[in-house]
Amino acid sequence: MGRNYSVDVLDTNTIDVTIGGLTSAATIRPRIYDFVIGSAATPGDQAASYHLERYTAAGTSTAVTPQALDPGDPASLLASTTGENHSAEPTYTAAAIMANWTVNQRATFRWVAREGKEIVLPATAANGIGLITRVVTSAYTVRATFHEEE
Amino acid sequence: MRNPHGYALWVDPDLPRDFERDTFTCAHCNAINQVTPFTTPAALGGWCSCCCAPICPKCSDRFECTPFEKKLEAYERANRFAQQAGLVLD
Repeated sequence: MGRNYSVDVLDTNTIDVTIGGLTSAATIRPRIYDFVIGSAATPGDQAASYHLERYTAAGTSTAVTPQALDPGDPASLLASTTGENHSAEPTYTAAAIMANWTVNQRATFRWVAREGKEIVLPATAANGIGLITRVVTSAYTVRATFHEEE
Repeated sequence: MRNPHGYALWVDPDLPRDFERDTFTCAHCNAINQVTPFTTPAALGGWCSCCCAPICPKCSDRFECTPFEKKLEAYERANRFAQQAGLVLD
């Protein structure tokens, strides 16, 4: 069994702007097995469609440090370009949409994968998975948490 | 769905109860797909008889079997080669 880490990202869900991204490295093949998204903003009747898409260049973001779920584990090997609140967008691969969820602002969404059926990131530098808003009625702040194994 | 690959849950205070869906992971492209209850297997995409696994509608239309693991290995190999050769691959 690999080591498990949590990556928590926070951003406004502006259309076509990345909320957060997990960037792999040449030494690991991370697997995303749990994903939660919700909003702590003042409740409103808004809706958004979120995609998990593959990218080949990480863009520029505020770095997020993955937290080990087992405190005895060493630091995550995800690249330091793993982050949130992107100021320069990652380079997304066309049509590489790993998941697409539509969530109301009042709702909290969770997806969990069975063992062996996770979203897999390649063991290649700068490649990763980005959480991006593709449709939103009116932007609001969202928080998402990924659990990944490496 | 028997033996789902994943589980999706929406907790929405405006709904009378939680909204749930099974999911499956496409064996060819690794995409996560929702399973609509009582739908036909064909409507979900298809079943690859080569790798004995469910596949998404997009992969089903391609009429070929390249398991995701194989694609991943080829991609990583190409990138390692490009790095060693001093090339940059997208």
